[in-house]
Amino acid sequence: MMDTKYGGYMGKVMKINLTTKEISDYPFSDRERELFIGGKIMAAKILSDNLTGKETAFSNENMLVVTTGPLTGTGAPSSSRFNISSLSPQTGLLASSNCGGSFGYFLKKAGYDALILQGKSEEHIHIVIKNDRVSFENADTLWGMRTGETQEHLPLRSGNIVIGPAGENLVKYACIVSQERVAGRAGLGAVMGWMNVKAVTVSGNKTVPVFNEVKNKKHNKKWYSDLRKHPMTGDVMPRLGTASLVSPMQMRGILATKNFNFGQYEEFEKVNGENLAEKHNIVNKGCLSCPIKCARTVEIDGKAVKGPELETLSLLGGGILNNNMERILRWNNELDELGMDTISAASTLAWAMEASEKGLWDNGLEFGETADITKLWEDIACRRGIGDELAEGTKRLSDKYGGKEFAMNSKGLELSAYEPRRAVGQGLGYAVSNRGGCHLNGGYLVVLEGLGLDINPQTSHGKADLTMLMQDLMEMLSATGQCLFTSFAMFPGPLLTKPNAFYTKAVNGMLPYMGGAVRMMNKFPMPLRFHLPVFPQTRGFEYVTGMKMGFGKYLRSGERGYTLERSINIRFGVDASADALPSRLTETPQVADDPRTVVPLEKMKTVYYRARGWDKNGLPVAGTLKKLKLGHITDIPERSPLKNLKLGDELHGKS
Amino acid sequence: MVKAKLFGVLRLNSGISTMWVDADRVGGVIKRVAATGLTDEKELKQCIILVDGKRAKMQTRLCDGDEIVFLSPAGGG
Repeated sequence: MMDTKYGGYMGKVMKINLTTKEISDYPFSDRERELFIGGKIMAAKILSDNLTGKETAFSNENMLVVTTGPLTGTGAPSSSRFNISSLSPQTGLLASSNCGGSFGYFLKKAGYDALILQGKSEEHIHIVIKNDRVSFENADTLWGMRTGETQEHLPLRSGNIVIGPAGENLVKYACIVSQERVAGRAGLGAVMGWMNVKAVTVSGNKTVPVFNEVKNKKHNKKWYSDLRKHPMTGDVMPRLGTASLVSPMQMRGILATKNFNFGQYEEFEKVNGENLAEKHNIVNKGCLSCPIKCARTVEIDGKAVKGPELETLSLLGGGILNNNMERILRWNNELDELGMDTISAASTLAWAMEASEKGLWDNGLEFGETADITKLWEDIACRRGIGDELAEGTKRLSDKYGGKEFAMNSKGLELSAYEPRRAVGQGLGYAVSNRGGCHLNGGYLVVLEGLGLDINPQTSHGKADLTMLMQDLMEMLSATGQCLFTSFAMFPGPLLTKPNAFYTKAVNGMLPYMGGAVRMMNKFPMPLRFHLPVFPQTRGFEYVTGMKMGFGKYLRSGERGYTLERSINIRFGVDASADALPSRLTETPQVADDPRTVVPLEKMKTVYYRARGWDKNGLPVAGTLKKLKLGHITDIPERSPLKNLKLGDELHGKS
Repeated sequence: MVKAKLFGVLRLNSGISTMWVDADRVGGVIKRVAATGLTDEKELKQCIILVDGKRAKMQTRLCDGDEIVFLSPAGGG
């Protein structure tokens, strides 16, 4: 008997108190499912109900919340993703990290929509969940193992999440690994390590209920077919993967080079997607139920391993002036095995190289000198030598040594590979993102600013409203359990394949000046009760769950999630001053004789806050919270000042 | 001589990464690259075309040593 009237949900959330080993059902009602859907929004609701603003990532009150979406396990394309949310040791704020693989599918097979871990186990454990039975196995023999070896020791036919040595040693940007996929960002692997949980495996024999099986099956058949026929999801992504973007980023001047000093890397052709596809890729892989198959497989020492994504290629290529593709392939595998986020690891290394070049920190690192880096990754994961300091990330390092103007993070989370001075909307997104310097949570406007569509990348016109639209759309897409890449099919193929056609130029030219229309849609989405032919997500959601979901409600649900996450961050001290970028990006033009090539952040922030219904200080006003049915969070306990954690504070338990 | 460089799926489809051709306008470059039979004019004309980093048209004049980039649609990351 399900505890919900809606399809797509198993109706139960499991909570495990690691300190007492007590297992309970966490209450989550159908009304909450209607408002908070699943994935990162569901996790935000759970965390919002439990965090007061006083906790840190490494405290008994913090929670690691693993959530699925209602589409997970229902046959919808690219819907096997799951989300992990918690307080981040890197930012001190709410973190959500999304992952492919099969863990979410197996969690639902066990009968649960979400799993909450809280507290700290006294001993190293491996949690085994089989249907509603939970056992805690001693993990002393697994402790110290790399992520690949750890997973080899886990039961077959189950979903796994594991950490590597980096998580065990509380590296601030340690990740959580599931098969070959990674919940990479914001250091959630360190939270799991602090809890003394090496691995969680889950399996079961339950079936995910679907509200209308017949219509859902028919709808999915067409949806898969449409994705396979679309030029982006059916051709470019399968053949080149995310690495397809390196070359266009170079041409647009947005390929972060030498720690974001430049937007172009002279030797990019040695480390681009074409090179990867022609010389190194053995086979394409995809997550469960994904027709896009964007993952690469490469060979290292005779073994087939996961290939690098765009961010890794760019930041470990031009980012540190490395033109050696073989090294990137090896480092990518090494970082996954050690359990570290490749983006933050690469950016921290780039910062350290520049700090050395500028004489701020004598660490022996130098741009372009990369022969010994393989060993350095292990030093970071095991906190040996300078690795112990590099394990803290750019924010804490620049607090200690100086060099904040080139510490490429926002709210403490390192930026990904897009250099925003030549795509200013992406710059706004990095700054206001709830997660910190994340391209996706930031709204991913760069995809409109030259990497898909081709709107003017330097103008601030319309960027704030488009950012909000994209953020809300992706927030909801993620909450349903789907991959963001399914949304690429929303752009009509000819707009992408025929950039020189009259209609494409017209759309690109007009879009920045349609901010008013976009704002109206953002402000009053609810009349859009219909389904858009280019956006099958809403109809699919209805067939799976039985809930009404027009395009407008879809956007409003995303807005609710985004604002809820913001409200949690506000408890931890976030306001307008935290929505910032390093001054290199806002004050120093990328092109010396072109003053437009900076991010006009403050100007865009003002419009963005207005569009979101936030006050000048970046706080949602009461009317906005009420409109979004978030009135309950107006009784926020007292706001804590934004924590300015010093190097190693949390590691040594000082905070 | 000018240098034509192909990127994206266009390059994977044609197998051409770089090709030196004798042409004084972008249109001429397209004709010569298409003459290899490995791609066609239509596919090349649909690309974003850059000459020394700047958007170009069919009539854009070329100088000896110029680099012409043909960029087919990108993906996402």
